[in-house]
Amino acid sequence: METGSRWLAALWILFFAVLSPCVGSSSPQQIDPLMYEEQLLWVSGAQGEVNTYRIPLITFTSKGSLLAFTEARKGSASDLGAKFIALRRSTDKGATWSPTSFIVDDGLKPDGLNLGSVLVDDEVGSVILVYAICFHEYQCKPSSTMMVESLDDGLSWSSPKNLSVQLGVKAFAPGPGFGIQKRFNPAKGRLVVCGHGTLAGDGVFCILSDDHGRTWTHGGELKSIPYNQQKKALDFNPDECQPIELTDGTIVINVRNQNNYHCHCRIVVRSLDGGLTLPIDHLYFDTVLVDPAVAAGALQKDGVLYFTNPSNNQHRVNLTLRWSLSNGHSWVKEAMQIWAGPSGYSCMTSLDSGSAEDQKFIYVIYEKGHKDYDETVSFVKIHLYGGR
Amino acid sequence: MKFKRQRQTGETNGRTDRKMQVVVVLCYFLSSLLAVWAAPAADEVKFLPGLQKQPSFKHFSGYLNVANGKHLHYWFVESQKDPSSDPLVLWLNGGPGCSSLDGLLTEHGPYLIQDDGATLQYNPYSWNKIANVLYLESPAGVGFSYSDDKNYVTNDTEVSMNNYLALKEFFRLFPEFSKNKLFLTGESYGGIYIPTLAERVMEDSALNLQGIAVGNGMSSYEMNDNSLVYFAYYHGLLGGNLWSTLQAFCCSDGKCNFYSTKNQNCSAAIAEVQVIVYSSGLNIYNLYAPCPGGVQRLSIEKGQMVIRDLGNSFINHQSTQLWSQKLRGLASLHLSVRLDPPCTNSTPSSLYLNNQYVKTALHISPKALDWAICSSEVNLNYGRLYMDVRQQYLKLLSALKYRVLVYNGDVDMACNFMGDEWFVESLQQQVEVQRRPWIYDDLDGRQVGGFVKEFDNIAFLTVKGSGHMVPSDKPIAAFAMFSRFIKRQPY
Repeated sequence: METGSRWLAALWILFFAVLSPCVGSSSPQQIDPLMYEEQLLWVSGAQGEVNTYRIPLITFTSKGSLLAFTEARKGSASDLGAKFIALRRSTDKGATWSPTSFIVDDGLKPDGLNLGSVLVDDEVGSVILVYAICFHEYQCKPSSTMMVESLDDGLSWSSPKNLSVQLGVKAFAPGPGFGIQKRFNPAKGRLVVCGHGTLAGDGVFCILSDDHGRTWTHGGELKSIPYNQQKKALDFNPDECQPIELTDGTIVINVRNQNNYHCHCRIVVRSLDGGLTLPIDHLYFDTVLVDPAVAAGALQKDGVLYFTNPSNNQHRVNLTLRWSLSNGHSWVKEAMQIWAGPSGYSCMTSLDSGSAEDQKFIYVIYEKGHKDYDETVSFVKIHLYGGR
Repeated sequence: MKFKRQRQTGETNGRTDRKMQVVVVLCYFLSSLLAVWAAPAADEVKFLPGLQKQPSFKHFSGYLNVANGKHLHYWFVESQKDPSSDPLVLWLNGGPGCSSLDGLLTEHGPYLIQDDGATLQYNPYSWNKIANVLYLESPAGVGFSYSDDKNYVTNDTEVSMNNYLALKEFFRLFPEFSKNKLFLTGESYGGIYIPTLAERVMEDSALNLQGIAVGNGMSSYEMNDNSLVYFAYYHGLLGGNLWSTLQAFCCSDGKCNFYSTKNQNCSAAIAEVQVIVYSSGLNIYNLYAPCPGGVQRLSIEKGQMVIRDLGNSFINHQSTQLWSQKLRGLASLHLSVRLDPPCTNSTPSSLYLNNQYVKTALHISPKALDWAICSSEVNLNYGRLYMDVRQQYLKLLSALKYRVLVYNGDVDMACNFMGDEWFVESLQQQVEVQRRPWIYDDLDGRQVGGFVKEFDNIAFLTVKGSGHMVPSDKPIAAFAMFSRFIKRQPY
């Protein structure tokens, strides 16, 4: 009975969610994205002699500044090894950027930090960055979930706080991408950070905070099969993920399908209870979103969903922007190619100030190269309405 | 004409020609063989007194002959890791007129002199753990370096030329290192030596220059003087009254000129600053270290006149100019003059290096003078031609390929960190990474080494709690910094 009524509720929510864009103030039918500006924020081997810049994150702050983060991998391109967290900040919506700051330095760790999930708490104006250390447990143990916070618009950062005291030491790699603060009920105001587990104990896991990041608890999980066991090709292995909130309060998580279970495409899972559960009932495979197994970008803006990934079922090339006027049930046929060549992880943000100017733009950060996708980290400002 | 005739007789003497060819080819083969293993066998140090166990790496000591009968003594220690692929690092101490063997024996060499002046101990943080290091005594007149004509009057331009020629001579003797990455490094007045040398080296495509590093260097006399007064006040050395006087007479609109003031009251206040910094008993090379030997800028010891002033500060002040004039006058009257850096005990190094067995082991020429840490003759007669090295740095940076490091122990007062920080800032290069702490692991775990700010191809880095001789004061931090510098790793 209970499941039945839940289903009914979900259907109603979906119905309204589909309907809502039509009553929105913007006119999504005219969406015709145009690359307006592009800037390389990091070049591997350049700033500070860092070997490789990877795993870019981007967000607007409550005050309208843009913060771009990336892992600065000191000695090699590997996921392991010692790193800085690099930050650049723009107070003019991406036209100019501050020099790089290294806000966290893990020293000489053989299995240092990994990004990460950035989230903005609009209720208190803070920026929170959650990341992992020792995620691969290579020459170290245990893995820890860490957090740093800025209360001054990203200018200065707290020293790292170890959340494992609250969450335990199960390996958790947040994001990569942004976390969300629930804007709609259920659980308005809640902070939701989703990520994935270790390679064997993989799956999507969310952590939640109802007190602006002071304390965290475990939320929904979508475990891999077979869980905590070595995977084989084509096993069910949900991995890196990006949550977004629909205007009806539903959390939609767009997930990397690590072992190509069912398709070379994205897994989508929903939470209707503010991130407490990720029921399998609402899981589907989005066969339009062809994917080579990568961390992708997702964004909801004015009732339209946006999605970026290297659109190719084998290789990390062809970074493409798609958009959906139906909360992801279907995607508009005209997609926009951002970069034909090697391209990897991506992340998106936009400013919802209500101003006409801010309605026009979304901002993408992605790994971009000519020979390899980890050569540079690039920032793109996209005009949604063809420059008009 | 000659060539033509040979061609004509070529046919009849075909066999001789072929023989000649064989000889030529053989000679060429032999000489190329020699070129590969060309390290001058005569210069190899076979047995170095004072060591409990002879080193596992090769080391050489001898002379590099440069223009006009000048012979510069070098001591070259091969890398303990992989000499053939590790970089070659030139090291120059400053002065002007002080010996780079001080760097070898008391800073970052593989074996360090002990207090007894007879024993050497291995240094676990030696820079030759990862690099081939060439210690050069320059100019002639310094240490064991000498000139046939015994003329030791020189200047910045001549020194940079002779250092360049010495480097060329080194590669002629050791061609097997000519492909290795080359870094030029130095300290103190090396702040002038290194960039002026680099300016020549970068023009020579045969030299594989990769970068330069300068520790507590003299980069600009003006900034060095001006910053020192702030440094002294904010480290609690001057007191409120003197500071107020300085502010009143040396400063206007928030800008202070302690360097070349025309104001008599300012000059008088600066003279007071100088007394406090240089003559009150403080160790100018490390504010928080004791002063070995006590402080006196000038004294007579056992009939020898001892100067403890290298003459690098407040050179524009009349009182300083009178003082150095007086020194030169006195020095010319005295039979024996010694120049010791203040608060520096060079007795162990002097005892060791003047020992006959050591000199023989190092192939020191009988024409060389007795070894002293600094040469008063070179120092007092030195022609300072560069008041700053801005143009040299800008030239290096405009090549877009050299890695430049300006590092400063942050409690040194001889070349204080702030002056060099101002200097690097004044080059107005694009900031790449904002100022931040840099960290390293020492025996107590993870430590802040100091702070670093990175610009395009040039970094300014402090070493926290270190004085002028960074590798002596903070060997672990210095080694971490050096290692990251030559390996092009992030600090």
